[in-house]
Amino acid sequence: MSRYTVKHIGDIERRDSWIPIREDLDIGAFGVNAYRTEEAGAQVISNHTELMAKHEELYVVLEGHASFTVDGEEVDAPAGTLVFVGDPESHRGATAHEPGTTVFAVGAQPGAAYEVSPWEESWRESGEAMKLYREQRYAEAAAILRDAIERYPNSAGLYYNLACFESMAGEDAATVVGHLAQAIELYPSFRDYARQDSDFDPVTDDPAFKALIEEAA
Amino acid sequence: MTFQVAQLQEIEEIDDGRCPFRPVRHHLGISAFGVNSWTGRDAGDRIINEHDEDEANGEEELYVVTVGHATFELDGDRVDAPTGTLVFCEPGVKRTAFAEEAGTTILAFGAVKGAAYQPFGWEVWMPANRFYLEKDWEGAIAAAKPGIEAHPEYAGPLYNLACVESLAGHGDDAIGHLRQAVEKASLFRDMAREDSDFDPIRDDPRFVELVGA
Repeated sequence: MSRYTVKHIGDIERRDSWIPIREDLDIGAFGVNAYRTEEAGAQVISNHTELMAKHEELYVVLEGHASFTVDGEEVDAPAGTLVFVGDPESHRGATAHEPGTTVFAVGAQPGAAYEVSPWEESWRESGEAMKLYREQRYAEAAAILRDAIERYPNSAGLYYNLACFESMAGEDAATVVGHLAQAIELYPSFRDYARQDSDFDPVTDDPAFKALIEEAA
Repeated sequence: MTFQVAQLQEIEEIDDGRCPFRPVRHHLGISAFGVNSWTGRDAGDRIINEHDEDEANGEEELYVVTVGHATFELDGDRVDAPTGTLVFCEPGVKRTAFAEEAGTTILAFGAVKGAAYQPFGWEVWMPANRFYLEKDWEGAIAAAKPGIEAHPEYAGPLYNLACVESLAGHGDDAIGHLRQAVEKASLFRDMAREDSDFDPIRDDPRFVELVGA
């Protein structure tokens, strides 16, 4: 029996500014979220690249008025504007000019079947840990993720970030490599990503690390 | 240029003889998922053609009512859909939608679950479709050619061109274009086997060789 689901965007439970549409509707073929802020001047799409997921992204301003910045170029984006960023390396983000500005974001990787983000289910813990990470409190950030892994034992993103935080916290290379290996097993794209992730600089000369990231994908 | 910006309402509509639509994916050069938009001029207009995606490569589809107020019919159920409504359909759900207000606009996103998205380029075919629906095969061939010449990368329009050439009695052209379509996307081999548009050339040994018995 085929399934259909109808939901008003306002009825999806929000996670701060994030409206997790893909997860709520259980869409499996592409990624889709919306972001909403009640505050003029606030960031509605955080500044980021798509180097990890390699997604093409299409943003649609559904409501309000936003201003995008893509690779340093500013784009005025009232409701009805489409902004398509095809290059995963492009830096993109948007701020809201009006309260209630809502931006829809759809993404997928060209030439590959869609995979759910390795952080989606553990978004709350990942967010808390990232905050500590940005404050360079690496050991505390790692502790949050170790705890979260008990609840989400198959969350690739948790293992990956744990490996990063442990590396930055100065833990022994074997521990770091062990967690990175688990992340790669669950989500093979992490191998490529780890090669260019400066969080692993402290273990970059470790033979086991080298062997892990140089294995043929 | 690493990014593209457009106003939805400024993308030129394509009238394929059914509900006119704006080819958003094609306009922006998106290659990882499909996206089009439909706008009803008047209340009561059908804005999503009835279809069910019930084929081997049926897509998951997400519809978003961005302007106005629509009514969907999903497997026979009527569903009220004001601005901001999301309608998600797995393949197999029979779906259509009507505008309750003039200017009602629906954005539709689609891709096949578990498979890389392949843009077939149906948008490029659409100027020819009204001729196809009217069974004006020569008109369809003439209308399709400029788009196909501008976008030789797409398999979909080549397949449809082969269909109308077959129907128009141009067997050699049909075989040639069907071969190009199949080389770009092998699923057209299976489609051609079942497609009655190819009945006029079904016994041609080249057709049999190309698609199998």
